[in-house]
Amino acid sequence: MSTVAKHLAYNYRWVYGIFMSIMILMMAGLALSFEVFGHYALDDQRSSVWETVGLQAPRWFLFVIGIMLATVNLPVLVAHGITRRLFARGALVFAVASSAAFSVLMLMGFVVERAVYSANGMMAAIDDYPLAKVSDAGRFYVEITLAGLLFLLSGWVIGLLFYRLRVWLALLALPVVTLPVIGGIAMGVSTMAGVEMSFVNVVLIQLAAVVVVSALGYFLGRDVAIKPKKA
Amino acid sequence: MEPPVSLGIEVRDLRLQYGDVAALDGLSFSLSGGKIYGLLGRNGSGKTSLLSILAAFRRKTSGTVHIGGQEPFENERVTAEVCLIRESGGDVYDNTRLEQLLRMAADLRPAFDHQYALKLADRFQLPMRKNVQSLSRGQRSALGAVMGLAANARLTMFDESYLGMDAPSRYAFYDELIANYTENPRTFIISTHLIEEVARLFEEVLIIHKGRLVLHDDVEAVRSRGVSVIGPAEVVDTFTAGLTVLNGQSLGRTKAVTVYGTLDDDQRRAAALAGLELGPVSLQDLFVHLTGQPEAEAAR
Amino acid sequence: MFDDRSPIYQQIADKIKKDILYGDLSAGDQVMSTNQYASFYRINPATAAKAFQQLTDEGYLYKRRGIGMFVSDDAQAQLRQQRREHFFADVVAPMVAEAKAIGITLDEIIHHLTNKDGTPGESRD
Repeated sequence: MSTVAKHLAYNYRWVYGIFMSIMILMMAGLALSFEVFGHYALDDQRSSVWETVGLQAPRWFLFVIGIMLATVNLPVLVAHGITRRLFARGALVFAVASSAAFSVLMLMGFVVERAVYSANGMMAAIDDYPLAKVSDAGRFYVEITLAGLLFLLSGWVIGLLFYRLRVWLALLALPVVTLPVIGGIAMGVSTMAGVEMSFVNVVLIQLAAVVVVSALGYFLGRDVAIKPKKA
Repeated sequence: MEPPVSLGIEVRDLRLQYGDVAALDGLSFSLSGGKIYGLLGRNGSGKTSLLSILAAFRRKTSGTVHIGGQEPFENERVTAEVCLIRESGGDVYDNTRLEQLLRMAADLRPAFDHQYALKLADRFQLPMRKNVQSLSRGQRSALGAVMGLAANARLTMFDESYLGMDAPSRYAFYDELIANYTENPRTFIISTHLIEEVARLFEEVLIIHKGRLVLHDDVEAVRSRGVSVIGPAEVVDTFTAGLTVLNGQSLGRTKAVTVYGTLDDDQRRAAALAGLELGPVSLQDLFVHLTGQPEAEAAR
Repeated sequence: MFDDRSPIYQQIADKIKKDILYGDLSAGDQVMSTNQYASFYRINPATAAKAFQQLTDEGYLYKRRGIGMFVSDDAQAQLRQQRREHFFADVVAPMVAEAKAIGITLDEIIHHLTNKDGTPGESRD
């Protein structure tokens, strides 16, 4: 692992640890609420609870991490003699690892929730459960990992935009930047929502979005000036 | 390990443009390295811009910058050898404890001397278990001093970063700088606009003004080169014709001017015979004359 | 310690010369090293080195390789000789000029100096 990736892992160990613990606690809470309250707990439930709690929250968390990488870590590491290129390379490794790690928990949550719902005979009442079949877990994992990576990378790009440009300019540029992100995610989400599209096509579209956003991040970051800090 | 060689610096026709404003406007100089250099300039003269380019914090607009013969921007062979501590007291994480910052620096910079950093932190009485954001301004500056000295970089630059410290801490910094330099001679660039206190630490001095080089010389030579000439206006004018006159002021028929250049014995004798009074000029005065309102002088 | 108006190495050299002249440093005494001097007075080591270089060039100090710098045997005599040559020009002449300007006669000066076995008096009477 590169020096930069190691440094970032060390730097975010507490934040990650806390967020992951919360996810595990939620999972346990979800399972326990059934043990305690029986199916009254989720009697009117027509959709997945975990989809909101366990899928969307971590994505926005990764998005914020992307912003932090660009606006907090990059300047400090450049000041410590690391080039922007080396930082970007290490940050990408860290980003992939982050998304992969969070996706394990995201997937686990669905498996747990699914088991709980099934045991209580609720699956039939829920339309379009994100994890359609347990046997789809592998494909599902790849899709959510790529989507998480896209969130993190777009955070990186947006962070750089605001770091580099005056606020109003960054706001103007924002829609252009978010297009590929929205596209990539929409594809992922729509398949999960049941729109027919083959796994390979989804992954290809997501990968294309990753490439476009990474390229944007690279061009915005490769000659960014480290701003003076306020004392 | 290769033996420590001092990093020379070559700057040719360096420009840095911020929109319409030229922060650096054709700056050129060359430093042989291995010395403590003083970089003097008024606020907004381009000191920080120059140091930022040397440290690869920002990209130049045009011109040549070579550190040890190589362009520094995005060149890890150079950036790993260069350390710039900026005015605020160094670029570090605000929400991190000092002891962790030093450990991080040791991980990121192969040459960072962790033991020495701890010793310095102790000398500046830094609270190692506190976060950076809870430090006072003076402590923040002291942290910058620690990070800069312990980085052990072959080119180490302090951009007025030590000015936030109180006088005893500043003197401790000067002591440590000299001790560090004596033990491990390398290139230091120290920028300041408060000259009197630090001038004696320098071996060479560069003065920049409006993004251009005004003077680069051995600091001891500079000290012997400023001469004040006082006497009757006509006599002063006759005597200083052909010399580099930096400024002048008149009081009735008496005129006082500052001349830059070495006067030989003949000139000194001639001055004495003409009834002129010659005196030394401090580096600070010379700096003020070299960078203060040259337009007004030209009009006189 | 040093002022900023003349080369610091010159001021260091002058101070060491004065120490030798007044006997604070005797022949054979070791002087501080360049680095000790630099850290003691918070000056650039190169500046201190320049002062010592000048003093060895002029013969007041000599170097013993690996040990340090020492005061030459004839340093004090040499300095006294030199100062004597300049004494009348550097010390007496300005005094005489000042005396003339304020109307003190040479006789008065001589009287003042020879009075009380040469100790300068507080006032003229």
